[in-house]
Amino acid sequence: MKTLAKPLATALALTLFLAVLAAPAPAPAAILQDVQKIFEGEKKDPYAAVFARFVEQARLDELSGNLLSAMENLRIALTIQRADRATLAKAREIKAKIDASADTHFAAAKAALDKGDAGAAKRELLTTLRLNPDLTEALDLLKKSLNPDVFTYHKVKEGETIASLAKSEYGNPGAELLITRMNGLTIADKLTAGQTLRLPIVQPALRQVLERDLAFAAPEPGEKPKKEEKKAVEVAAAAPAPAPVQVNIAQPQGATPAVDVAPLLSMAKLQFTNGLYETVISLTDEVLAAEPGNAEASALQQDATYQLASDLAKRGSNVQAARTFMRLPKAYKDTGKQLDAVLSILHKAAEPVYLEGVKFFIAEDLQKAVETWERALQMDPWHPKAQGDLQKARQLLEKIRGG
Amino acid sequence: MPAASRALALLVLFCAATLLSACGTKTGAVRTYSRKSKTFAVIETRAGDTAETLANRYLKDPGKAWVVTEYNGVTEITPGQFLVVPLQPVHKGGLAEDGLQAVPILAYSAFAKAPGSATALSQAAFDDQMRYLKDNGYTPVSIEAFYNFLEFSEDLPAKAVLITIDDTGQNTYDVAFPVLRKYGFPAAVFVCTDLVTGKEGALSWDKVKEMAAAGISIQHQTKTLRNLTRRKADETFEDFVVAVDRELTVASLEFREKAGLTPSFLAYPYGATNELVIALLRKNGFRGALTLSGQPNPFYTDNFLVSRKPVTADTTLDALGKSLTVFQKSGGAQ
Repeated sequence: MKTLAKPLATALALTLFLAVLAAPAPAPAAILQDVQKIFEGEKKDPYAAVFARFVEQARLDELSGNLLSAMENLRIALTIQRADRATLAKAREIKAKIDASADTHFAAAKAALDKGDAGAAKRELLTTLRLNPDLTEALDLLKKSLNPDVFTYHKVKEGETIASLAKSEYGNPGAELLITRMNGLTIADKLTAGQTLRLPIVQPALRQVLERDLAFAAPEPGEKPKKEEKKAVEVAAAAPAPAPVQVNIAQPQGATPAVDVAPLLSMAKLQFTNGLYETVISLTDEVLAAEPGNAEASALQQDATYQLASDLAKRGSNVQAARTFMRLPKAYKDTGKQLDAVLSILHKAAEPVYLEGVKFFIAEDLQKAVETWERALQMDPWHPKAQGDLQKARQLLEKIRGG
Repeated sequence: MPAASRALALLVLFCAATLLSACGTKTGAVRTYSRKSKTFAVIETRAGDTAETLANRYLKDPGKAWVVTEYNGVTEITPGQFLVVPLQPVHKGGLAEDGLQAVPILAYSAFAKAPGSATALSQAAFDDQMRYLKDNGYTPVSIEAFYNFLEFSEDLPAKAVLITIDDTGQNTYDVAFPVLRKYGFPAAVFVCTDLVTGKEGALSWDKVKEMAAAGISIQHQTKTLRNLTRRKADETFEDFVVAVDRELTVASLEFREKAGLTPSFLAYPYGATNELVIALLRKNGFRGALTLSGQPNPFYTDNFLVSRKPVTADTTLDALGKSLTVFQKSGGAQ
């Protein structure tokens, strides 16, 4: 017990003005070695001696302002003698002080965030969490303030539809699919005002409109567009402007610095012989992005695309086959002939479904007509009439719903 | 009511009896007691105790032997030692007064049996690197443990490092796997499902399963290694979204059907990602994904922007050592 009075050098509190924070990384190894000696020397009841040593250490820690370390030593002491009243009271007192300090730093972090001082906010939040790791609110705030958002949350306004949101939020009618998939909706679903939708952020370059995207655009409905455009502006204004952090992931991370073309190309060749045409396309895409003029890669990619399309057609995956053939020049091998054959199979298969939709339309069951034509288009996205008719039906439906 | 209270009294008596008998065995003839609270266990070691057995007994995980040794500042366990075992994480997030822990992640992408390749790392070189980690006190951890650290639910050893391999080639099994076993190091292997053909130079599902059974974490690297951030010039936006989604979902299905695995982490092909890719990963239930941006990861790193350092054939031990920063000092600039 006499050895306990030995003063310890833990009071190296450099940051005196932040005395409460001056806890070194809880590495009680030095104390533990000391305790080990007591433990070996004391034959009668070593635990009593060791208990006293931890309590004493906690007292010294508290004196030097090292509350976290004090708390840790008190907890160890209480593990040895859980009913010691004075120690229990001390532990409660110190825990309350630490928690209060954590709360102070958390408040400072929130104030710093309000002021837009991200650096200070981060420091304060890290301190908060070191003092009170159970403050999940601080953890959430830290992660949220340092990491990019990938969604915006859109509160649906009166009159908004999936189609109008695709246009106003993404400028691309093809975004309807993204909106429905992300929110567990189908394209025939009616949005209700006040409903919140999760909309992934998509960088402008990725959502550029191709002519083929426009095929899915609703035809301009005479008088209506003005009204709709106005709404679109309102929505755009209401949508939060992307925070600057998001720019960081707009650029593919670490992708560009060192694309080594040679191994990618040799891997692509190997996979071509293995018949893994999709992988060949993925790999040659990467080569061509780094070296757009690479003739070997582009020839390999064309051949892989052709093989893939032919395989898909053979397996009866006609929609996929048609899409893949469309990526090739019609004059490449017998692409033109195969594409025509596949399209005609698709048209034939979808025609009865299309006609079923027509029946619903004539019977003025617009909802059913929309659903049926959707189905026809899933079977044959290039059906000559289904697309146009579907858009008309949807417009009518919106008009009726919009009142 | 009286019946109930009698039952209660009996129950109390019974509990007291079992408690007493438990005490009795602990303080028997041989003085080997240990004491436990919610936060710590205080123990006197006995013959046969090792850091692993203690970790297994008190932390229910022999892989946490480092908790015992690091906390007590010991390397060896001898009988009659006094040890304190923290039962809960003591520095979540690796937060310290003067900074915080960062976890370096190594990304291996190609192996060769013999040296000489410009791009592939030879078995001897890989062995050297693993020995370097061991000799310099680094502790390779599993990808699950690393994500527990990110999510602030678990501590990691002070010099934790994560080993990852993005290679569906046979050499992952022939070259890397035996070395990892030799050192007993955990690792994550990211598999592109279309490439698991069992043909020349490629992994087979049997080998994937064998590695998984040996404790290698098998994770996801898409169906075809498509760069998920690149929309093809002739691809509609809708087709692009569908294609990216398929790269994730079709491969996940394959993992389940062919190997009974459900990977929850993805290595972005070529390290490339953006908001849309992350949104689709989250929709599909992924827990995280990894880039190749190079720097070590503090706990507040986004689950989907975890960064790895590529290790290639020309990475020297010196360069490897330099990339293994495990602590970020808090300075004004941070």
